[in-house]
Amino acid sequence: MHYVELEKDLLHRNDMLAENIKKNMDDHGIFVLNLMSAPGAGKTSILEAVIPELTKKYRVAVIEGDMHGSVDADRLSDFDIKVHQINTHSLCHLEAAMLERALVNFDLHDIDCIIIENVGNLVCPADFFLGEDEIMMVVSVSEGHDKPHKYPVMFSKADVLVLNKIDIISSTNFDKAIFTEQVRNLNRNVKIIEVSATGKVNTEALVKHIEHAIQHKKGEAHSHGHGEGPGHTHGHGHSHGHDHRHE
Amino acid sequence: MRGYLSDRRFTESIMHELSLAMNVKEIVEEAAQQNGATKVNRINLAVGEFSSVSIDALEFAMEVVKKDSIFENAAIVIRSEKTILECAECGSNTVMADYIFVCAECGSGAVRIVSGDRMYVESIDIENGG
Repeated sequence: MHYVELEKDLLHRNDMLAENIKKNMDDHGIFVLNLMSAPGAGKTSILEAVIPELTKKYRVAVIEGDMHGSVDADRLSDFDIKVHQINTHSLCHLEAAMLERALVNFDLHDIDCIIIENVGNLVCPADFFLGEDEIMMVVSVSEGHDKPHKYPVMFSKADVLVLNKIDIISSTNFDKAIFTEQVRNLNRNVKIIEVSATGKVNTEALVKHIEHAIQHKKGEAHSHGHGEGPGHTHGHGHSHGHDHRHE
Repeated sequence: MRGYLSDRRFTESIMHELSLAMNVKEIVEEAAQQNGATKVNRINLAVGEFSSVSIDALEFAMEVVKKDSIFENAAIVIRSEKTILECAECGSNTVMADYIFVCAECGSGAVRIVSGDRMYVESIDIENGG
Protein backbone atom coordinates (compact mmCIF):
# COMPACT_ATOMS: atom_id res chain seq x y z
CA MET A 1 0.00 0.00 0.00
CA HIS A 2 1.26 3.47 -0.55
CA TYR A 3 0.47 7.02 0.14
CA VAL A 4 -0.05 9.51 -2.67
CA GLU A 5 0.03 13.17 -1.82
CA LEU A 6 -2.38 15.19 -3.97
CA GLU A 7 -3.31 18.58 -2.47
CA LYS A 8 -5.92 18.93 -5.20
CA ASP A 9 -8.53 21.61 -4.82
CA LEU A 10 -12.10 20.40 -5.30
CA LEU A 11 -12.91 23.60 -7.11
CA HIS A 12 -9.85 23.50 -9.30
CA ARG A 13 -11.79 22.73 -12.44
CA ASN A 14 -14.38 25.43 -11.72
CA ASP A 15 -11.67 27.99 -11.04
CA MET A 16 -9.83 27.11 -14.23
CA LEU A 17 -12.98 27.50 -16.30
CA ALA A 18 -13.76 30.75 -14.51
CA GLU A 19 -10.28 32.10 -15.19
CA ASN A 20 -10.79 31.32 -18.88
CA ILE A 21 -14.11 33.15 -18.85
CA LYS A 22 -12.47 36.08 -17.10
CA LYS A 23 -9.73 36.24 -19.71
CA ASN A 24 -12.26 36.07 -22.53
CA MET A 25 -14.31 38.87 -20.96
CA ASP A 26 -11.16 40.95 -20.41
CA ASP A 27 -10.23 40.53 -24.06
CA HIS A 28 -13.66 41.80 -25.06
CA GLY A 29 -13.64 44.59 -22.48
CA ILE A 30 -16.86 43.30 -20.97
CA PHE A 31 -17.62 44.15 -17.36
CA VAL A 32 -19.10 41.14 -15.54
CA LEU A 33 -21.17 41.58 -12.42
CA ASN A 34 -22.17 38.62 -10.25
CA LEU A 35 -25.32 39.49 -8.34
CA MET A 36 -25.97 37.41 -5.24
CA SER A 37 -28.49 37.47 -2.42
CA ALA A 38 -31.01 35.45 -0.49
CA PRO A 39 -34.26 34.68 -2.31
CA GLY A 40 -36.51 37.71 -2.25
CA ALA A 41 -33.90 40.36 -1.45
CA GLY A 42 -34.71 42.10 -4.70
CA LYS A 43 -32.09 41.14 -7.28
CA THR A 44 -34.54 41.17 -10.18
CA SER A 45 -36.21 44.38 -8.99
CA ILE A 46 -32.80 45.99 -8.89
CA LEU A 47 -32.19 44.90 -12.46
CA GLU A 48 -35.56 46.33 -13.44
CA ALA A 49 -34.53 49.63 -11.87
CA VAL A 50 -31.05 49.97 -13.34
CA ILE A 51 -31.32 48.37 -16.77
CA PRO A 52 -33.46 51.10 -18.41
CA GLU A 53 -30.79 53.62 -17.38
CA LEU A 54 -27.79 51.47 -18.31
CA THR A 55 -29.17 50.69 -21.76
CA LYS A 56 -29.26 54.39 -22.62
CA LYS A 57 -25.48 54.20 -22.94
CA TYR A 58 -24.43 50.58 -22.90
CA ARG A 59 -25.24 47.18 -24.35
CA VAL A 60 -26.27 44.91 -21.52
CA ALA A 61 -26.82 41.16 -21.30
CA VAL A 62 -28.27 39.30 -18.34
CA ILE A 63 -27.84 35.68 -17.34
CA GLU A 64 -30.55 34.51 -15.00
CA GLY A 65 -29.83 31.60 -12.68
CA ASP A 66 -32.77 29.91 -11.03
CA MET A 67 -33.54 26.42 -9.93
CA HIS A 68 -36.67 26.35 -11.99
CA GLY A 69 -38.59 28.33 -14.56
CA SER A 70 -38.06 31.58 -16.43
CA VAL A 71 -40.08 34.03 -14.35
CA ASP A 72 -37.09 36.35 -13.92
CA ALA A 73 -36.07 36.22 -17.58
CA ASP A 74 -39.69 36.96 -18.52
CA ARG A 75 -39.71 39.98 -16.21
CA LEU A 76 -36.74 41.38 -18.11
CA SER A 77 -37.96 40.50 -21.59
CA ASP A 78 -39.37 43.95 -22.32
CA PHE A 79 -36.02 45.65 -21.99
CA ASP A 80 -33.66 46.19 -24.85
CA ILE A 81 -31.20 43.58 -23.62
CA LYS A 82 -30.23 39.98 -24.24
CA VAL A 83 -31.36 37.57 -21.56
CA HIS A 84 -30.46 33.95 -21.09
CA GLN A 85 -32.05 31.78 -18.43
CA ILE A 86 -30.11 28.97 -16.78
CA ASN A 87 -32.06 26.42 -14.77
CA THR A 88 -29.92 24.66 -12.20
CA HIS A 89 -32.71 22.19 -11.31
CA SER A 90 -31.77 21.07 -7.85
CA LEU A 91 -28.36 22.72 -7.66
CA CYS A 92 -28.05 25.63 -5.26
CA HIS A 93 -25.59 27.82 -7.16
CA LEU A 94 -24.20 28.64 -10.61
CA GLU A 95 -20.91 27.09 -11.67
CA ALA A 96 -18.45 28.32 -14.28
CA ALA A 97 -19.32 25.44 -16.62
CA MET A 98 -22.97 26.58 -16.74
CA LEU A 99 -21.87 30.10 -17.48
CA GLU A 100 -19.59 28.95 -20.24
CA ARG A 101 -22.51 27.18 -21.91
CA ALA A 102 -24.76 30.22 -21.45
CA LEU A 103 -22.23 32.61 -23.00
CA VAL A 104 -22.45 30.77 -26.31
CA ASN A 105 -25.84 32.45 -26.75
CA PHE A 106 -24.32 35.94 -26.87
CA ASP A 107 -22.29 37.82 -29.43
CA LEU A 108 -19.52 39.09 -27.17
CA HIS A 109 -18.55 41.80 -29.65
CA ASP A 110 -21.95 43.33 -29.09
CA ILE A 111 -21.94 43.56 -25.28
CA ASP A 112 -20.47 46.01 -22.76
CA CYS A 113 -21.75 44.48 -19.57
CA ILE A 114 -22.97 41.08 -18.44
CA ILE A 115 -24.94 40.82 -15.24
CA ILE A 116 -25.26 37.35 -13.75
CA GLU A 117 -28.20 36.98 -11.43
CA ASN A 118 -27.08 34.06 -9.29
CA VAL A 119 -29.41 31.57 -7.60
CA GLY A 120 -31.03 33.16 -4.56
CA ASN A 121 -28.98 31.67 -1.74
CA LEU A 122 -26.67 33.18 0.87
CA VAL A 123 -24.47 30.12 1.19
CA CYS A 124 -23.17 28.17 -1.79
CA PRO A 125 -22.80 30.74 -4.60
CA ALA A 126 -20.03 32.41 -2.61
CA ASP A 127 -17.67 29.49 -3.20
CA PHE A 128 -17.94 29.48 -6.97
CA PHE A 129 -15.92 32.02 -8.93
CA LEU A 130 -17.61 32.66 -12.29
CA GLY A 131 -15.02 34.95 -13.85
CA GLU A 132 -16.76 38.10 -12.66
CA ASP A 133 -15.11 41.47 -12.09
CA GLU A 134 -17.30 42.26 -9.15
CA ILE A 135 -19.61 40.57 -6.69
CA MET A 136 -22.61 42.69 -5.84
CA MET A 137 -24.52 41.36 -2.88
CA VAL A 138 -28.06 42.48 -2.16
CA VAL A 139 -29.51 42.44 1.34
CA SER A 140 -32.93 43.79 2.17
CA VAL A 141 -33.86 45.38 5.46
CA SER A 142 -36.69 42.90 5.94
CA GLU A 143 -34.15 40.08 6.24
CA GLY A 144 -32.85 41.49 9.52
CA HIS A 145 -29.57 43.10 10.54
CA ASP A 146 -27.93 39.90 11.77
CA LYS A 147 -27.35 38.31 8.37
CA PRO A 148 -23.62 39.17 8.13
CA HIS A 149 -23.02 37.31 11.36
CA LYS A 150 -24.95 34.30 10.11
CA TYR A 151 -23.55 34.16 6.57
CA PRO A 152 -20.01 35.46 6.88
CA VAL A 153 -18.50 33.95 3.74
CA MET A 154 -20.64 35.75 1.19
CA PHE A 155 -20.46 39.05 3.07
CA SER A 156 -16.68 38.78 3.14
CA LYS A 157 -16.48 38.31 -0.61
CA ALA A 158 -18.81 41.08 -1.73
CA ASP A 159 -17.25 44.04 -3.53
CA VAL A 160 -20.43 46.08 -3.28
CA LEU A 161 -23.26 45.64 -0.82
CA VAL A 162 -26.68 46.93 -1.78
CA LEU A 163 -29.02 47.47 1.14
CA ASN A 164 -32.41 47.24 -0.50
CA LYS A 165 -35.98 48.12 0.57
CA ILE A 166 -34.60 51.06 2.55
CA ASP A 167 -37.96 52.83 2.17
CA ILE A 168 -39.66 50.35 4.51
CA ILE A 169 -36.95 50.30 7.17
CA SER A 170 -39.19 52.02 9.73
CA SER A 171 -41.66 49.14 9.50
CA THR A 172 -38.93 46.66 10.47
CA ASN A 173 -36.63 46.19 13.43
CA PHE A 174 -33.55 46.48 11.21
CA ASP A 175 -30.71 48.19 13.10
CA LYS A 176 -28.36 49.85 10.63
CA ALA A 177 -25.58 50.40 13.16
CA ILE A 178 -25.42 46.72 14.13
CA PHE A 179 -25.61 45.68 10.50
CA THR A 180 -22.80 48.01 9.48
CA GLU A 181 -20.57 46.89 12.33
CA GLN A 182 -21.09 43.24 11.44
CA VAL A 183 -20.36 43.97 7.79
CA ARG A 184 -17.17 45.88 8.63
CA ASN A 185 -15.94 42.97 10.76
CA LEU A 186 -16.08 40.81 7.66
CA ASN A 187 -15.29 43.23 4.91
CA ARG A 188 -13.95 46.57 5.94
CA ASN A 189 -13.70 48.09 2.48
CA VAL A 190 -16.98 47.03 0.93
CA LYS A 191 -18.99 49.87 -0.55
CA ILE A 192 -22.53 49.98 0.87
CA ILE A 193 -25.26 51.54 -1.24
CA GLU A 194 -28.71 52.02 0.29
CA VAL A 195 -31.56 51.85 -2.20
CA SER A 196 -35.14 50.96 -2.74
CA ALA A 197 -35.41 49.29 -6.12
CA THR A 198 -39.19 49.43 -6.33
CA GLY A 199 -39.48 52.80 -4.55
CA LYS A 200 -36.78 54.27 -6.87
CA VAL A 201 -34.75 55.54 -3.92
CA ASN A 202 -31.09 56.20 -4.71
CA THR A 203 -31.05 53.72 -7.58
CA GLU A 204 -29.12 56.35 -9.58
CA ALA A 205 -26.15 55.69 -7.27
CA LEU A 206 -26.23 52.05 -8.33
CA VAL A 207 -26.46 53.00 -11.98
CA LYS A 208 -23.51 55.34 -11.56
CA HIS A 209 -21.48 52.64 -9.87
CA ILE A 210 -22.09 50.14 -12.66
CA GLU A 211 -21.51 52.73 -15.40
CA HIS A 212 -18.22 53.65 -13.83
CA ALA A 213 -17.17 50.01 -13.68
CA ILE A 214 -18.12 49.47 -17.34
CA GLN A 215 -16.13 52.55 -18.36
CA HIS A 216 -13.19 51.41 -16.33
CA LYS A 217 -13.23 47.97 -17.87
CA LYS A 218 -13.40 49.39 -21.37
CA GLY A 219 -10.51 51.73 -20.68
CA GLU A 220 -8.51 48.82 -19.45
CA ALA A 221 -9.23 46.75 -22.53
CA HIS A 222 -8.02 49.60 -24.72
CA SER A 223 -4.92 50.58 -22.86
CA HIS A 224 -3.68 47.14 -22.04
CA GLY A 225 -0.64 46.73 -20.58
CA HIS A 226 -1.40 44.40 -17.74
CA GLY A 227 0.00 47.10 -15.52
CA GLU A 228 -3.09 47.65 -13.54
CA GLY A 229 -2.54 50.05 -10.70
CA PRO A 230 -3.47 49.29 -7.13
CA GLY A 231 -6.70 50.32 -5.52
CA HIS A 232 -9.11 49.26 -8.24
CA THR A 233 -12.48 48.20 -7.08
CA HIS A 234 -12.74 45.10 -9.20
CA GLY A 235 -10.35 42.19 -9.42
CA HIS A 236 -10.70 39.80 -6.58
CA GLY A 237 -8.08 40.94 -4.23
CA HIS A 238 -9.49 38.70 -1.59
CA SER A 239 -10.50 35.21 -0.97
CA HIS A 240 -11.28 33.68 -4.30
CA GLY A 241 -8.24 31.57 -3.79
CA HIS A 242 -6.60 32.68 -6.97
CA ASP A 243 -3.29 31.73 -5.51
CA HIS A 244 -4.28 28.09 -6.06
CA ARG A 245 -2.09 26.68 -3.40
CA HIS A 246 -3.82 23.34 -3.43
CA GLU A 247 -3.73 22.42 -7.05
CA MET B 1 -30.48 10.27 10.16
CA ARG B 2 -29.93 13.96 10.94
CA GLY B 3 -33.27 14.60 12.53
CA TYR B 4 -32.39 18.23 13.12
CA LEU B 5 -32.56 19.03 9.44
CA SER B 6 -35.91 19.07 7.79
CA ASP B 7 -35.98 16.92 4.67
CA ARG B 8 -36.16 19.85 2.35
CA ARG B 9 -33.24 21.64 3.91
CA PHE B 10 -31.20 18.47 3.80
CA THR B 11 -31.97 17.79 0.16
CA GLU B 12 -30.99 21.31 -0.75
CA SER B 13 -27.73 21.19 1.11
CA ILE B 14 -26.78 17.69 0.07
CA MET B 15 -26.96 18.68 -3.60
CA HIS B 16 -24.16 21.11 -3.02
CA GLU B 17 -21.94 18.55 -1.33
CA LEU B 18 -22.90 15.94 -3.89
CA SER B 19 -21.48 18.08 -6.66
CA LEU B 20 -18.30 18.46 -4.61
CA ALA B 21 -18.17 14.72 -3.95
CA MET B 22 -18.30 14.18 -7.70
CA ASN B 23 -15.21 16.39 -7.96
CA VAL B 24 -13.50 14.26 -5.30
CA LYS B 25 -14.37 11.19 -7.30
CA GLU B 26 -12.85 12.65 -10.44
CA ILE B 27 -9.64 13.70 -8.68
CA VAL B 28 -9.25 10.34 -6.91
CA GLU B 29 -9.98 8.27 -10.00
CA GLU B 30 -7.47 10.24 -12.05
CA ALA B 31 -4.78 9.93 -9.37
CA ALA B 32 -5.51 6.22 -8.91
CA GLN B 33 -5.10 5.63 -12.61
CA GLN B 34 -1.89 7.65 -12.84
CA ASN B 35 -0.43 5.66 -9.96
CA GLY B 36 -1.56 2.28 -11.22
CA ALA B 37 -3.80 1.67 -8.23
CA THR B 38 -6.01 -1.40 -8.06
CA LYS B 39 -7.75 -0.15 -4.98
CA VAL B 40 -7.99 3.00 -2.87
CA ASN B 41 -8.00 2.34 0.87
CA ARG B 42 -8.26 5.80 2.24
CA ILE B 43 -9.09 9.32 1.08
CA ASN B 44 -7.95 12.27 3.17
CA LEU B 45 -9.98 15.42 2.59
CA ALA B 46 -9.56 18.85 4.10
CA VAL B 47 -12.43 21.30 4.35
CA GLY B 48 -11.82 24.88 5.31
CA GLU B 49 -13.97 26.36 8.03
CA PHE B 50 -14.49 29.41 5.80
CA SER B 51 -16.07 27.47 2.95
CA SER B 52 -19.74 26.77 2.45
CA VAL B 53 -19.42 23.06 3.07
CA SER B 54 -21.03 20.92 5.71
CA ILE B 55 -18.72 18.05 6.67
CA ASP B 56 -21.71 15.87 7.63
CA ALA B 57 -23.30 16.38 4.25
CA LEU B 58 -20.01 15.79 2.45
CA GLU B 59 -19.53 12.51 4.34
CA PHE B 60 -22.98 11.46 3.30
CA ALA B 61 -22.38 12.48 -0.31
CA MET B 62 -19.09 10.56 -0.39
CA GLU B 63 -20.98 7.41 0.64
CA VAL B 64 -23.23 7.97 -2.35
CA VAL B 65 -20.46 8.44 -4.93
CA LYS B 66 -18.33 5.57 -3.55
CA LYS B 67 -20.60 2.94 -5.05
CA ASP B 68 -18.97 0.86 -7.80
CA SER B 69 -15.87 3.04 -7.75
CA ILE B 70 -12.24 2.17 -7.15
CA PHE B 71 -12.68 3.62 -3.65
CA GLU B 72 -15.83 1.68 -2.84
CA ASN B 73 -14.34 0.40 0.43
CA ALA B 74 -12.08 3.31 1.25
CA ALA B 75 -12.14 5.11 4.56
CA ILE B 76 -13.16 8.73 4.00
CA VAL B 77 -11.41 11.01 6.46
CA ILE B 78 -12.43 14.65 6.48
CA ARG B 79 -10.33 17.13 8.39
CA SER B 80 -11.69 20.55 9.23
CA GLU B 81 -9.18 23.30 8.62
CA LYS B 82 -9.08 26.51 10.63
CA THR B 83 -9.14 29.83 8.85
CA ILE B 84 -5.73 31.51 8.87
CA LEU B 85 -5.40 35.25 8.44
CA GLU B 86 -2.26 37.01 7.30
CA CYS B 87 -1.77 40.52 8.62
CA ALA B 88 -0.39 43.20 6.31
CA GLU B 89 0.63 45.37 9.27
CA CYS B 90 2.51 43.04 11.61
CA GLY B 91 3.04 40.10 9.28
CA SER B 92 1.61 37.49 11.66
CA ASN B 93 -0.46 34.54 10.60
CA THR B 94 -3.19 33.96 13.15
CA VAL B 95 -6.29 31.80 13.47
CA MET B 96 -9.49 33.65 12.70
CA ALA B 97 -11.85 33.79 15.65
CA ASP B 98 -15.59 34.13 15.35
CA TYR B 99 -15.48 34.96 11.63
CA ILE B 100 -14.06 38.39 12.30
CA PHE B 101 -11.39 39.76 9.99
CA VAL B 102 -9.00 41.03 12.64
CA CYS B 103 -5.38 40.07 13.36
CA ALA B 104 -5.27 38.18 16.66
CA GLU B 105 -1.76 39.52 17.22
CA CYS B 106 -2.04 43.29 16.68
CA GLY B 107 -5.75 43.89 16.17
CA SER B 108 -5.36 45.30 12.68
CA GLY B 109 -8.15 44.79 10.18
CA ALA B 110 -5.67 44.67 7.28
CA VAL B 111 -5.85 40.92 6.99
CA ARG B 112 -6.54 38.43 4.27
CA ILE B 113 -7.34 34.75 4.34
CA VAL B 114 -4.36 32.59 3.45
CA SER B 115 -5.95 29.23 4.18
CA GLY B 116 -9.16 27.73 5.44
CA ASP B 117 -11.45 28.94 2.67
CA ARG B 118 -10.94 26.00 0.34
CA MET B 119 -11.55 22.28 0.25
CA TYR B 120 -9.17 19.76 -1.25
CA VAL B 121 -8.10 16.17 -1.50
CA GLU B 122 -4.96 16.03 0.61
CA SER B 123 -3.84 12.49 -0.14
CA ILE B 124 -4.94 8.95 -0.83
CA ASP B 125 -3.67 5.54 0.25
CA ILE B 126 -3.64 3.07 -2.61
CA GLU B 127 -2.75 -0.51 -3.43
CA ASN B 128 -0.90 -1.30 -6.64
CA GLY B 129 -1.97 -4.88 -7.19
CA GLY B 130 1.16 -7.07 -6.95
